[in-house]
Amino acid sequence: MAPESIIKNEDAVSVSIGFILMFAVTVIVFTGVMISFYSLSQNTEKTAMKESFKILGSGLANKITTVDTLVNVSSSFGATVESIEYEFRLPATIAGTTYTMNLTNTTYEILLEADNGALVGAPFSVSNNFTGRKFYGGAEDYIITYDKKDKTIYIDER
Amino acid sequence: MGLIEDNDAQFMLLAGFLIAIGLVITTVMLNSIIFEGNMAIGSVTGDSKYEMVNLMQITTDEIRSAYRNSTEKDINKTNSTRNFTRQVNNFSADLPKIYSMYGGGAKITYENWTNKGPANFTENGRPGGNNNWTVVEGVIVKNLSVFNFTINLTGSIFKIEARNPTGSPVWSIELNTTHYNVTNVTNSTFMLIPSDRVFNLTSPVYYFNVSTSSYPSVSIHIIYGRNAFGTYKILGLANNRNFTRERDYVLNTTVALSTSKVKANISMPVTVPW
Repeated sequence: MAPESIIKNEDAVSVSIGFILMFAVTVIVFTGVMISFYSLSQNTEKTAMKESFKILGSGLANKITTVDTLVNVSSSFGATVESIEYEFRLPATIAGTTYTMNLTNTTYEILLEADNGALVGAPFSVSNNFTGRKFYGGAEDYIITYDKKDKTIYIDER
Repeated sequence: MGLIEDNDAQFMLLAGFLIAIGLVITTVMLNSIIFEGNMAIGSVTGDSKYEMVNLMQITTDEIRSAYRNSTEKDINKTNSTRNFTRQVNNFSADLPKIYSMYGGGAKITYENWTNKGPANFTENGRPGGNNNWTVVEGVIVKNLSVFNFTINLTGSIFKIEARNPTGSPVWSIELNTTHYNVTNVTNSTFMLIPSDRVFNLTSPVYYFNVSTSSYPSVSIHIIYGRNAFGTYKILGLANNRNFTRERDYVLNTTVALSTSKVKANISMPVTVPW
């Protein structure tokens, strides 16, 4: 067939072939859209976890520092802290995923980590002794205490 | 009718354009919904440390004020402790009302000075307190009107020292069980401790003024404060401001603060009158 005739030819494929082609294109496009939504939701989940970890980590660091400050301020009054209990609640899961919370007394950091790779560190500073702990997902209620005997701040599950 | 029957591609283009816009809007909305749905609610509650510090400070101020009011107005000890108790009880009764506005509770316990001995010469007045400490800095000697100590030794040695602005000792009085020794930059005097154990250190017999008046200011320090107990009163001018350092007793006080999140219990020695 001469090139001119191809350009001028206004015939199309048969109705059956046209339907199959259209159906195939629709399926491919729909699948592509679904896959992109899925990966989008996965990324969103991870981003949301990171953001949540930042909020939770800085909030917890603030609470630990509050207890430490209270002890130090009491000392400046010549006072002795008999007991301090600071209760707080953290969500058991974030975005439907459990996470671990590692409080280190070597680098003084709260490391929040989930299985999907979301990892956030929140630094804190204390001048009293602090006992590190690692919490695995599931707990919701925690308590920060100060022990006057060994002058140490503890954090534990309630 | 014309639009439906029209076989040209305008309607198809328009539909495609609308679908594309709809898809973009849906994607953005879905993204936001998924993000918000996954976010943990992180509420940073208000700090309780300021309430606690405030409670300690106002309790200290109130107890000192009650002591001064009661002892200055009434020399009779029974009457003065009664007035003291009345004022602090009023304060204690008002505390829960104040702190209920913050959604918490506050309570104090205190003691009066009946059957109490004088305080140790440590920084906080307790036997285990800071042994060596600075009572006041920047004292202008010519304006020092009162510099009295009543000292009872429990250990072998106790010392009060004046240092010049560079931190070098220029005068000191050191007590042992029977004698005191006044030392300045030129000489040393060894004498028996007076029977009433009262030391008016501005008196010429202690050489304080002559030893220190050549300096623009001095700081007064206590060394080995755990080895003695008693009272002191120093009045004068420091850093161009009037000051009073005075201690008769240490009253043991406890303050307790309770909010929905924080419970704190602190025992606090309050030195009176200042």
